[in-house]
Amino acid sequence: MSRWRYLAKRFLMAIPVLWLGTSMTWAIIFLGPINPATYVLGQTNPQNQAAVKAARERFGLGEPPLEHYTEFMINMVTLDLGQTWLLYPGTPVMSLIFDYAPRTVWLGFWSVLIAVFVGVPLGFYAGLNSNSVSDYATSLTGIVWRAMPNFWLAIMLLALLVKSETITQALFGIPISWDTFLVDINAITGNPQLSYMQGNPLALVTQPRETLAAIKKILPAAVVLGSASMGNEMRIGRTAVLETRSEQYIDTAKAKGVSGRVLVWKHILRNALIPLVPIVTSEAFLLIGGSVLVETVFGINGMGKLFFDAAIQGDLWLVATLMFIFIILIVGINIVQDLLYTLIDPRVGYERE
Amino acid sequence: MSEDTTRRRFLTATGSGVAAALAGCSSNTPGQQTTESADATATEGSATGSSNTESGIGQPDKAGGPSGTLRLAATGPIQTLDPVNAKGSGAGYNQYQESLMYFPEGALPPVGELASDYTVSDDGKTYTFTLKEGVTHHDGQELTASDFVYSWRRLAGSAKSRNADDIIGGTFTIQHEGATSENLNNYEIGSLAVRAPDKNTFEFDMAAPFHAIPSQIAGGAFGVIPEGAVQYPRPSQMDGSKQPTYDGNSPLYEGEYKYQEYFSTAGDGPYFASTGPFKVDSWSKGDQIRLTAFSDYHGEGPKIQTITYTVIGSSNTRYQRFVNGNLDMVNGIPNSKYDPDDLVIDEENGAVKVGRYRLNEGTVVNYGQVTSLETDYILFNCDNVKRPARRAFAYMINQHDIAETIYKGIGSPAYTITPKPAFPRLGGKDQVAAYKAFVKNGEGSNDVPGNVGENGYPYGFDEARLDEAASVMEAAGHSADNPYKVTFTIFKGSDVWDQLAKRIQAKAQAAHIDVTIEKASFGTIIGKAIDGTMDMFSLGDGMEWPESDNFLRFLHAGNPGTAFTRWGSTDKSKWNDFMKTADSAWQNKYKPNRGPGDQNQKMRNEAYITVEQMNWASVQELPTVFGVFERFWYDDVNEEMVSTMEDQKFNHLQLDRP
Repeated sequence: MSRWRYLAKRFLMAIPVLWLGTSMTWAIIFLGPINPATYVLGQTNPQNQAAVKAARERFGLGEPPLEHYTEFMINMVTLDLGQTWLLYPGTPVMSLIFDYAPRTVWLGFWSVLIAVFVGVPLGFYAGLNSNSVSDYATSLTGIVWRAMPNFWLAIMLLALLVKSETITQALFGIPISWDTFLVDINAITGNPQLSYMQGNPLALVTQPRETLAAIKKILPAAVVLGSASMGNEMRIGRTAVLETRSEQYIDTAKAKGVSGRVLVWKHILRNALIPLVPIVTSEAFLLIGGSVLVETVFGINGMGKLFFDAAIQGDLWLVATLMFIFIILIVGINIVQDLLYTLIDPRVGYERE
Repeated sequence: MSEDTTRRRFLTATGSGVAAALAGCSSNTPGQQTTESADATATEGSATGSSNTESGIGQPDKAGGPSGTLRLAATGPIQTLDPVNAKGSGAGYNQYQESLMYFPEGALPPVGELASDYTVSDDGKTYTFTLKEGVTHHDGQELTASDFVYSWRRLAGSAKSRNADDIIGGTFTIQHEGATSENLNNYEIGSLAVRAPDKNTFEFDMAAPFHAIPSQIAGGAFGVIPEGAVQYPRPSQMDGSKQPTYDGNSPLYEGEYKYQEYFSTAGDGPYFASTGPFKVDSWSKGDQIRLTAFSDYHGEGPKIQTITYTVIGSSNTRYQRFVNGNLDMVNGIPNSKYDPDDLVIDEENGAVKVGRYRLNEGTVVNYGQVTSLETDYILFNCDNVKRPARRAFAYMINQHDIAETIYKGIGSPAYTITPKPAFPRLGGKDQVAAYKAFVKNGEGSNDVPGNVGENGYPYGFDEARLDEAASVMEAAGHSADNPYKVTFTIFKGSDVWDQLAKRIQAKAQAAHIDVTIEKASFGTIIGKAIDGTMDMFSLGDGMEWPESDNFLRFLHAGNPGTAFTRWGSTDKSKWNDFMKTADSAWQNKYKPNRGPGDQNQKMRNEAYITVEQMNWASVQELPTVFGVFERFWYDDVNEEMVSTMEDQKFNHLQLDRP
């Protein structure tokens, strides 16, 4: 089977998955007990039933289920995502996503990057120096780091940053405030300011001050969010290196007199990367949902927060459309991951054995 | 209009009747920040003087933020700039948008904002407003009466409107076609009786006289935007696929802008324009809205360049940012962070208190507190909980204790459903004094069956009467072996309701009542309340206009099928004396007297008092506390503390920093 046929087959197989996922979403959300119409009321005049009645009709909640289901499915398939009901009434879901997604993507990007660039080298280092004091040290810190719950880590980190002046005074004798360190940011928590790139992606490079401020703002959250995967990558990197090191071809290479540097860089590390690929791609899920907890603690209004707010406030249409988009993304990422396997490791075939 | 119209000046317009305030038009309350400085004394009047120097709380500190920028927090998402679509009003709406009337510094009565004067016809139905001259919108267009015609028609008929019940439903109803009392979508577009006889005159006809019109039209939903800014009616309304549908002959507006770029952030939006002292500069959803000074503002000010409202949903995060000096002002702090010992009140004037508060970190900030038009109560479904049990609960609770220990003083004990700043002014007293005399001693009470309330609140003023509670239940045949079972549903995530429910649960044991506590979200509680499937539940209610009918219209037995309390029966022959009394007061003394004027007010007040007394007798709604609005601000913000209405325009606000 050629790669293209394989790809086509994977796409075809994705269709029933999409249909099933979307139908289940519809059933869970719209056949559930939540009545979004009641959320149009607020604390002023909560006994105003006329408003609830009108909202019910406006949201189309009185329709027979089958009719509503068909309408929902057609809207989703044609990517007519409609408008939110309650959170930002009258705003198209698409435009909301364009407003919220950049913050989550920015957060996800940095947390994956930090995890990859810290976790993987540390893991490799530990694997190459296995059972030494430095291996034990890195492994121990890696496991402890991995074991700490996200939200706790987030709160601790925040507490440290708030007191950064006192702490640096005690440690180094000079007070350094995190707020003004390198670039000024208006508050430790909050959204990274990315609007300077709007319509001009090159500003990322041409306006380094803004870029630096945006990175600095997201950094604590990215470290926390990346911490779990960092630990994972370290542990798996270490095992992969250990495993590769004991392969026979390494012994052969050694016997042939390959230098230590080439041995490590060309023969060990490259092959040890293979098991890490699915780990890293699976982290791409961070890009989608971020983490509601981490976003909440750091006051970042990203996709996770949007999804959470929509669910809490009964904005069912928004919840359902966001879930539909998540389903598409997850199915898409899975296809990409399967393709990557075949590219990286030619031994992985398309045929059944 | 007939020749015999009565001309009134604004300042006296609504002052004759019940004063009081309207609780910020609706509730999502993100906006409403304001400030005040220690030296900007609230008003003349009774300062209690500060003998509090020994408290050790020093003078307020400054935040020292960027010059010319006031940094505020929005508590919820800023939803939309469209006045007809906002649930309540978005953050800062009263900075950028204006309507005919407003509450100066949040105080009653409402006065003219874009109107310089108005007259009411003798039948109390036709209102004629004269607009201020020389007012321009943010986009440079001159304000005209047709802007109001357009804006209000959108409120009634736009497919986007979710505040249509403010103008064609409920109580404030402008004449129109279509059976909107059955369903708001039956409205016939174009039939609203609003007119612009000339450039500066705006007129409308009411379906029936209504006393609170000046307050009602001060609400955010009645804000003005330039005529024809966006398309109305929508094509989907003209082809009948979206309701309300187009009647075929009212004016059609193509719309200068697309909806999303005018009220939201599509394209280079928002292009939103109104007449407020600040205009919308930029808006990023889920992040921040930034307002800048409008140099052609028709009134005084503005005196600062920029206001930012940053969306911070968590009250703890808001508090932390404020402590760090990243916000200049916050409304309220988390109950868990609040310590009454860190507060000194320097000045008290009616419902407003001003003082200083020491934050955890030792920083001292200015503090203001005002009783708002909000009541928290326990609502009983009278079909599911019998009267002896309802009365037993009333005996059990001590409102004073709840306000002091659970709400930590951020709430004031409530013995009536009507909040005290809006209480009927019995015997010529002011609202609060009339309230006190009524609930303490029964002053001003009416003759009612059973003489309920002739000596004031019948279930123990500032005290719990557990023995009475037990004996009521014993008389109803209950004992320790045969307890009465009831489920109490409270708001999920509400610390104060949680504590209160547990306290009631413990006390109820002694009165032979088994209370099961359930928690549910606001929407779930409303849904179940409509279906009538709960026994008793927590609810808070804010006033749309400052008068008792706002709340009491649900308590007079005349609508047993739909009222959450289910009190009364559709079969009037089954009514008891309490129901008959409440209903007759409502039908005979309230309904015919809904218009403006002192005589009408007097009759309505009588009805309100009777219904309050009948609520004491029936215990449909058991009031716990009246809401209190709090504000904390740094000393470099100079602004007067806002009053009962909680909303304040910042055109006078100054920032005292370089």
